[in-house]
Amino acid sequence: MRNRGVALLGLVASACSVVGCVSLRRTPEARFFVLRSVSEQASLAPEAPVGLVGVLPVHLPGHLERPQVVTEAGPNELLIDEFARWAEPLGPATSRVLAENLAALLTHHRVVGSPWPAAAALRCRVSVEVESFAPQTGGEVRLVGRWALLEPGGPRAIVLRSSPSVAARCRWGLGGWTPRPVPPR
Amino acid sequence: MDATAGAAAMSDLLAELAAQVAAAVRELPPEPAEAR
Repeated sequence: MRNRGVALLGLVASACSVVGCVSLRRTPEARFFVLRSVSEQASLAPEAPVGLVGVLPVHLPGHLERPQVVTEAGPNELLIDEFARWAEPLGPATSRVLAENLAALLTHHRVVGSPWPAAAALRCRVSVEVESFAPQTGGEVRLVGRWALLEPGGPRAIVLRSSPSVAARCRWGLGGWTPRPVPPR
Repeated sequence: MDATAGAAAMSDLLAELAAQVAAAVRELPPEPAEAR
């Protein structure tokens, strides 16, 4: 009888300890974010297209290809917010928004995202390689990488101006855009 | 910076990138068909 009482007491004590471990605080709900294109310019009346521009998928570093919003805390440290998430994968979202912005700005061109029909007569292809595209703990947002206008059917970057040192390839960031020389062919 | 402001600022940077690319596309030499 006494053993049964001790066992019952132990059972009650363990049940209380389990209840004590359960937090009554509510788990924060995740918030979802999207990238938006420039909407106010999309209402401009389109003109007759004179060329087709293809936008290749934007290449992001692997650490940004995750559902959580990533903040760069330093050169070798990232903060990943489990409760702030992208509503769509960041790479495709970046490609989509870039193509939408270009379509709004280039009223003389038709802008298509990849993949496009093999028979499409492109004027050029837009290639973007991102090194950094994230908020910083200091309060700014960085977009660092390279972009190029490529010839329709090959890897060569199209030279935009007569000067051989100027090409459609740049580094960019909040501090402004800096021309980047094209490597010798 | 909170995530809302961060997402808005990232959208703004993509618009800036698109403006740079669009300017370069506009400066492309005309295609032969256009030149005729």
